[in-house]
Amino acid sequence: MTRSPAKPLGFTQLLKTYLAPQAPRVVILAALLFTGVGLQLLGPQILKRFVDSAVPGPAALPMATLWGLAGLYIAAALLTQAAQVATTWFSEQVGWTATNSLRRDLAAHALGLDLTFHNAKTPGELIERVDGDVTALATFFSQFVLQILGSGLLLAGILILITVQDWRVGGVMTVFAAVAAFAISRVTLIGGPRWTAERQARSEMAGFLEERLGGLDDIRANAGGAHVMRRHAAISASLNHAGRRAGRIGMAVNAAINALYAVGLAIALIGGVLLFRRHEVTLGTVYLFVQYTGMMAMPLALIGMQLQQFQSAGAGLGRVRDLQAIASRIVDGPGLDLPRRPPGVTFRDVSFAYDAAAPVLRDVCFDLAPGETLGLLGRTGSGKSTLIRLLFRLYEIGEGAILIDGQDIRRATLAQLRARIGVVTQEVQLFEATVRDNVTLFDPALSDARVLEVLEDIGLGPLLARLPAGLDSDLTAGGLSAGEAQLLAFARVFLRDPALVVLDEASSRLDPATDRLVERAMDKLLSPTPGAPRRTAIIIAHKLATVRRADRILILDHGRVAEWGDRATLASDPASQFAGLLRSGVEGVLQ
Amino acid sequence: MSAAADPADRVPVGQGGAWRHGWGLARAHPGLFTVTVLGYVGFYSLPLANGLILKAVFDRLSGHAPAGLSVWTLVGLLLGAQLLPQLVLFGANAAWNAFAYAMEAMLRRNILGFLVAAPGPKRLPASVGDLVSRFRDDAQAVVWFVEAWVDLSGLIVFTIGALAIMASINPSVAAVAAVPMVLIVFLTNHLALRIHHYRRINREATARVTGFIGETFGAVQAIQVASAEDRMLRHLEVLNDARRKAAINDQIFNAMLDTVSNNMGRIGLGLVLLISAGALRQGSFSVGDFTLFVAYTGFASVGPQWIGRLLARRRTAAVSIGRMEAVLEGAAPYALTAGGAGVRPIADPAEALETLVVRGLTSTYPGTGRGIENIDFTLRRGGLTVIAGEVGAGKTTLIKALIGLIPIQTGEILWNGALVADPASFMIPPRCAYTAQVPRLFSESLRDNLLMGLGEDDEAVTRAITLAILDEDLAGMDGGLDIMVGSRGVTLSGGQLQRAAAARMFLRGADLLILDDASSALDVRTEQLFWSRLLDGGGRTCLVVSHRPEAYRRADEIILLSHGQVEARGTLESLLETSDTFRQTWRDITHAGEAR
Repeated sequence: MTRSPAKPLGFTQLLKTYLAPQAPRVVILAALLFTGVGLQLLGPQILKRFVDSAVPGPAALPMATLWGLAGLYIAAALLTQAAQVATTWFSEQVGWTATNSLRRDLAAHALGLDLTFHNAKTPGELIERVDGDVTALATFFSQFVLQILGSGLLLAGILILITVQDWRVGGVMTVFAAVAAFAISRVTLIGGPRWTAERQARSEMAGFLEERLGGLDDIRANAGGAHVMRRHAAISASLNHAGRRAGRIGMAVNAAINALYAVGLAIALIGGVLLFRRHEVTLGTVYLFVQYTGMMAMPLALIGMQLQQFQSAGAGLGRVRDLQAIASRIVDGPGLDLPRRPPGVTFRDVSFAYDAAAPVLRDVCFDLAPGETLGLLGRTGSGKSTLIRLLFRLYEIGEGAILIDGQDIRRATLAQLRARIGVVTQEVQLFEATVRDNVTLFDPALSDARVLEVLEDIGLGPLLARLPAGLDSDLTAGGLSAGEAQLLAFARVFLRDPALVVLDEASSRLDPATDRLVERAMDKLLSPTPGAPRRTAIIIAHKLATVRRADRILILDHGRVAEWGDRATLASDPASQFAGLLRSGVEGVLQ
Repeated sequence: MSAAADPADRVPVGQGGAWRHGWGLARAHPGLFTVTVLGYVGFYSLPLANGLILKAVFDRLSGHAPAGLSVWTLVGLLLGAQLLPQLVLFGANAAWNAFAYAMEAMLRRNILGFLVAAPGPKRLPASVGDLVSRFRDDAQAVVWFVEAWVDLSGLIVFTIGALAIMASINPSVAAVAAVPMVLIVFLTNHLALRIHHYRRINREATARVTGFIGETFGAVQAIQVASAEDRMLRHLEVLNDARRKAAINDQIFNAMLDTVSNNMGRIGLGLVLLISAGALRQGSFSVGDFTLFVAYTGFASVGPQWIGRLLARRRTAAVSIGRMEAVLEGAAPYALTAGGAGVRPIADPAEALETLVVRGLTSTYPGTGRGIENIDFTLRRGGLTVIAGEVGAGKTTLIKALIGLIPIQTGEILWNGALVADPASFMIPPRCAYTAQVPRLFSESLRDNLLMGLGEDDEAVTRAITLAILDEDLAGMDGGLDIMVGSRGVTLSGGQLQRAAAARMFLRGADLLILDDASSALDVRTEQLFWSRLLDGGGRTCLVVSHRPEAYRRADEIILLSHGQVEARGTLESLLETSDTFRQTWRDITHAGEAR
């Protein structure tokens, strides 16, 4: 996966990127299109023949020929049907294959962005950006070029066939078609920004709904329903406004096309009547003019519709481009050979701020030897979680450097870095997927036996026994208690067997019995095993029991290191903050 | 998967339900609906004049009708008859647009309003991402169904008019022209059955994709630290592929529906050619008559086509209505499209809490066997009751059942001796307020998040913030109460989020406060302050889930849950004497003391 900002795509690059792999299908599609155009042009020719040869007179043909013409007309209709269905199948294949690739690429891009981006976007908004906007592009892929091409061909065919009948009428109609096409494209172009606004409003609505549905319990239990409904009304109103503004332009285009068609019909009829009265054309030819003019409305309308779709797609594409143009603030490193053994961790004068005004970490320095455990302490908001996020490069540090085994983490690729660190956070993210996928995070390479072993080991055996299909059972929302979810997070870490582990307030919400399970898991995680040295660990601890595991203590206060040193030394130094904490006689929790 | 095997194909909304829902939406917007329908009737029926004028032109040219208006007048009339419908369409379309967005908003309003405020526990039947797609795609499916009514009403007028005019010219040719129209209705109806099936599969596949994207970005930090990006993308590809197949099936049948009608129109025209050839030769059928038949026959297939489309959309709408109604579990029939349902902002004021008695409360999650069973306890005014117990003991379940967030199977709740019929709509402010274990804030300002629509001034907000010990944090925040807390409150730390949620609870001014482990992310000094400000203020009745010694010490009663049942109860002292399990718990949470 590349993390460098993908180059924003224009329409042509978009077509090239996503249609080139489907060249054979595109060729078949084009062939079907030509067939369709030919069949459509045939119809009026048959009708002209029919009119001229049915009326009694010198041009009259035998009845059998007339019936033959009628049969030919019906056969053309059947063929058209077959061609149209085949065209749909191919164009949908092309469209969906292309947009699915685009969806994937966008999701990949967004997943590669750092948390600065994700904190500002709700998952609902991203659903709209990765799926909604791309869906708006789908018709562009499957139809735009073909429809424009097909409509252009049909239009050209009509004009040529009229000219063959009479060059003067053909000339006038050609001028008319050019004027009409120009007028339609002008009217259509006004709509672009309006469609952008409509899609933006839709995405806001999706974001709003996603968040409120996720926090339903909070809303209901605090009687916040009326407030939510008022907000919904406000967002609905702006969506309504944006949609109607965009719709009005659509109508204007429609009306323009139809009005132009009316004028075209009048012109064709006038020309036909004049020539017929001078006996230069037959009545059938006049009718042919009327028929072909009527047929011109469709390609013109289609071109207008496609331009409109193109705009709607353009709005979607603009937003796709915006998303692609957002570069992660984190630039992937060139790559570094990090050994599997437990690393040392060094923070050298690390400063960081989410926004420039309020620094969260200031000049943080510490040094952790391989296999050591660091107890990280501090009030809420003192910067503990931020420190951990920097270690993972979820954010880019402002100043200073973080070293692993003496190497700057910015030189490693993110994948290399993160593969070496395991983390258990307080909030455990679960997916609507099988237990197996939830534990392995969709990694099919891990064997069932290994997954089962880890789950049993961690104390989730009873959970598995409860589930009807074991590992393949679907995990539904609310199916796990908070403690079970916590243990599941431990299982994820054990499966990956990292050399450096981070436990972020991991045990703070657990009841005593699960706490014992977690303690056991921690023991296992932090003890050397035959053949594997002790892992390096950073623990954000609230409990003295956890702190006792630490070799080193780091106390953060308002983003600064308030105290740093050897746990035993600090504990025995009555002047240290740490000793003061121990003395304060507060059970269970640490400042 | 076969169509018949799937229960969702037999959704109860099937026959007629979609009509009634559509009618509910129309009735709620009578003006827009009427203007739209009348506009489209005008737009579709005015072109009847075109055929008549064209016939007159050709009859004049062929000499079939030597008298009458001049050809040039007729051409002028034709131009006018073509332009007038466009003006009508402009107005009709504007009305339709307003109507369509209003219908969509109404569907969203009814679902969202039900979820946030209707009585009874609410259970979301799918992932949030999936539900967001119901608000978007399924609502639109119903709107498209109503759109078919509008188009069809206009087309029916046109078709009847066209048939009448053709029959008056030549009944037998008119009858032949009508044959394909009947065929279209049958064919499209048959296709529509398939469309219903494929549309549902398509919707489900789409929902799986959107649901997964939503979950993925909801868990983006966990995915990044685990380097699981590529694996997530591979799973997305699998879901994408399933959706592509479903979508193409869906589109193919829709395309057949559309093209069959058009081409049936052409076949009808071919039949008119066959039948009229003789009459044309004999002179009993003029070239003008012929052009009128061609014009009407070509367009008359549109009406039957819309009948098929209407039926197809009805089925699609029925699927979508089924999916939306799945969210409205326990609502009145047709609540989805009922008008005028307002949201009651807060409960009616009730007498102040003296006692809350819970008797025999049982609530289990279906299929899992997890839950609580036969729980009794009593809360008294001003008292602190702490619920203790290990993971999965049922602590959160008990609290959620008590305030109606999840259903109760048996048992009763008595507020000052009076039975609480619906905990969901009774156990809310101003009687009762709640802070969840993992509270949620929303992408609004901190002030809006705390007030949630209350009209209180900043002074009251500040008081609640002080009570929740968020004051010091707030002082350090840029913008103070106006700070935007970000998606799900992400710009706040875990502890700040919990205290903000506690402040939100305090602002409700409720008699009974229920906290599910609200101090879990707090450090010690903050937590001590939290409890003393909460309890020393006096008069507050609290029911709390906690593992903190501070809470146990201050408790008037501790209820120890185990496997969903009450294992022991009493004060800290009495439990330490009587319960082995509790002694173990107490040792676990206080063994920090040994470290000194």
